[in-house]
Amino acid sequence: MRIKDGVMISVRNLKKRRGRTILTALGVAIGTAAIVSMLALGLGLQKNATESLGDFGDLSVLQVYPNWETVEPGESAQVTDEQILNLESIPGVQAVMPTIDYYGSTEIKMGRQYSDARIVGIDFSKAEAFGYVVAEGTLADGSFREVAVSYKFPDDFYEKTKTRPNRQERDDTGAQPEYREESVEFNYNLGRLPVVGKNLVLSQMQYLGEGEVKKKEYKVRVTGVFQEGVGEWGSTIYLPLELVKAMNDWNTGEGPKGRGVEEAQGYDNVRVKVANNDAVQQVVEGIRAQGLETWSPTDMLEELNQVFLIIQLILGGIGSVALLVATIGIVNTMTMSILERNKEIGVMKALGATIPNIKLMFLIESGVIGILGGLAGLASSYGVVALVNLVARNMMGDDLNSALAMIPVWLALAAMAFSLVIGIIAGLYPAGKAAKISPLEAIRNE
Amino acid sequence: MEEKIVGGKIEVQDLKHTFRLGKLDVPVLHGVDFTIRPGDFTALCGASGSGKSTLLNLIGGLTKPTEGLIRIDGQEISAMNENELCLFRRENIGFVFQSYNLMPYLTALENVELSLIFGEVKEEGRREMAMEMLEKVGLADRMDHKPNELSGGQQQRVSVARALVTKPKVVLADEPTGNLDSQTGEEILALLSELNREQKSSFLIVTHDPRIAEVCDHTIFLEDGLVVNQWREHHAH
Ligand SMILES: Nc1ncnc2c1ncn2[C@@H]1O[C@H](COP(=O)(O)OP(=O)(O)O)[C@@H](O)[C@H]1O
Ligand SMILES: [Mg+2]
Repeated sequence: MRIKDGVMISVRNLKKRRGRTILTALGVAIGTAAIVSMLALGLGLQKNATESLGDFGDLSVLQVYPNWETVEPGESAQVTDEQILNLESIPGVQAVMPTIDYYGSTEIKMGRQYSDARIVGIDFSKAEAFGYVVAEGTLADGSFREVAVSYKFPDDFYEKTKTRPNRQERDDTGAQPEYREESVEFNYNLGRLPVVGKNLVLSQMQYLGEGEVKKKEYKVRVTGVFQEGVGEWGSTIYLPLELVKAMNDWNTGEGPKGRGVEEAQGYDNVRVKVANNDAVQQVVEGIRAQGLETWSPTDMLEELNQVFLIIQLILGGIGSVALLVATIGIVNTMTMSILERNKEIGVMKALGATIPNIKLMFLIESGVIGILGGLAGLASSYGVVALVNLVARNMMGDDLNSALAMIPVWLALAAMAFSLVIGIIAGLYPAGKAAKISPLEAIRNE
Repeated sequence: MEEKIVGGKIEVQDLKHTFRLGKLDVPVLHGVDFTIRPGDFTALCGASGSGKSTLLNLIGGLTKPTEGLIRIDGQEISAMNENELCLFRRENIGFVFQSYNLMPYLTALENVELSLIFGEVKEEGRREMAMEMLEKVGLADRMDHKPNELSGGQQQRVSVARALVTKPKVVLADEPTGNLDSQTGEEILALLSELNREQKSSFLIVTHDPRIAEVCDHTIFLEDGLVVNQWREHHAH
């Protein structure tokens, strides 16, 4: 007997017992749907998380900042030079680069154009290790005369046009003409301006009260524009660390002997470059051992993985229990069916069916129940996945990189194969029982 | 395709059979002896409970006798194991049952084909063989009907076709007319007799209708597990 013949006989038999077949297959369907949905969700979440991590940029660069929980109120919360030396000695650390933000107000001019760019101090000698790659021009040499700018910088200039104050003559009524204040109009539509080689004037301002303003000017030249996606968001000018330190000092009172404002001792932000991605976790632990805090995308990945694991365990548990019950269901249905078909099996033996023939027929029958259940389960999983994705898209909108849940082809195929195997395994015992039926006894019960 | 099927010679010697019901022994056959010539159309008669079905099933290799010898065309089936019996049945025996025992979920044609499927007949030409056989039993227009769409007589015709389609050496029929009215029963017997002449298989038909003996080459009477009488007649076929 060929498998094909066996399938024909089994399918006819199952059709005859349609209601029972559907109920039995339903068990397999529920189990398959639970397990496939679980894996689909797990795979989708993982893919999403990995893609989101891609958005965060280089995984091997860690941001280090003071641990705010351990900083006493009033104490300066900055990373010190000493701590930076310690960071450099953590195994797996390739380079450490502190950055300083400039706090005060500045007027930034390039010829007639203004910019509201952020000013950040970095160490240009380490820029390359941290992925600060120049897209246009060259890197600044670290002197106080040269700066590099972020990719967005050339886009964000504007022009000011001043309208003159009202100079209208008195009219015949003798009433005072309406006073119009001098107003400024801004024009932001300048497009992307060429900046490499251009000079910038940075004017620091201190407002001393009663209209008195103290000013300090720096003239610098733009040597290069960093690549898109590198460094800080938005329009930023990168100055040498020492220059930004000096600018901050001037702001707070020109150095330690200034106006009594405590001088900033360290750095707001330190970047640590890890030699390779495998060492990230080890370096994160080393940083925390220094009493500093860091945030790494791998942290989030780990937390997410924890959540996924729990979701997967719950769904997997439901699925496994459902499949176990389904397997027992198949065994039960098949055993019952064989008892009912005792005579039929005896007749088939009398007609020349061999023991392997009988076993094959019943294994195919239970396998078909498994496959039917698997198909129905898989179809429902596609439904579940579509629903989950619809709900997720409504809730999260564009935050979602791709689908929240997904069924790759291999998963669909594996689910079918798995349900077939479940069916066959469930059929082993009933098929053995069927093969043992004595044709004589079966036929005698007339 | 006028292929000559030579029926099997059936030799039964000192055949004893005892059923074991728990601790209780039920002796059914007490030493049966007879021989059936190849191609004979033989009736097995006797009262209910005399052991006719038991004898038939032993010859069909459905079970092994307690004692004695059964030989079909020289093959000693009483010495075969379960597996050998199974293959032997497949090759040599065709069964017709009192209650037809067709597969309810298969059509007439598929029921006949089932024999060929179990007989490991190649798929090519299998359907045609089954159709041809159904035509022979007069069911050319009922091939795609399920058993519950057929009358008793028609179902028994399907069952006869199923038994004969593999061209077995021996056809065993246990009260094939038992569930039919007398006219339909006679038609079935006429069909069996006709097929016996055409296919030359040996037929052994259990019946307690003495009239059947009239159309048979050979009649065996069983009483309480023993052959009490037998005669052979030569009918002008
Ligand atoms: N499988 C069996 N187990 C126990 N006793 C049986 C079995 N088959 C038949 N018998 C007994 O053997 C005797 C003969 O039965 P059977 O061969 O069916 O007779 P017949 O077909 O002539 O009516 C009966 O008494 C019956 O009860
Ligand atoms: Mg009987």
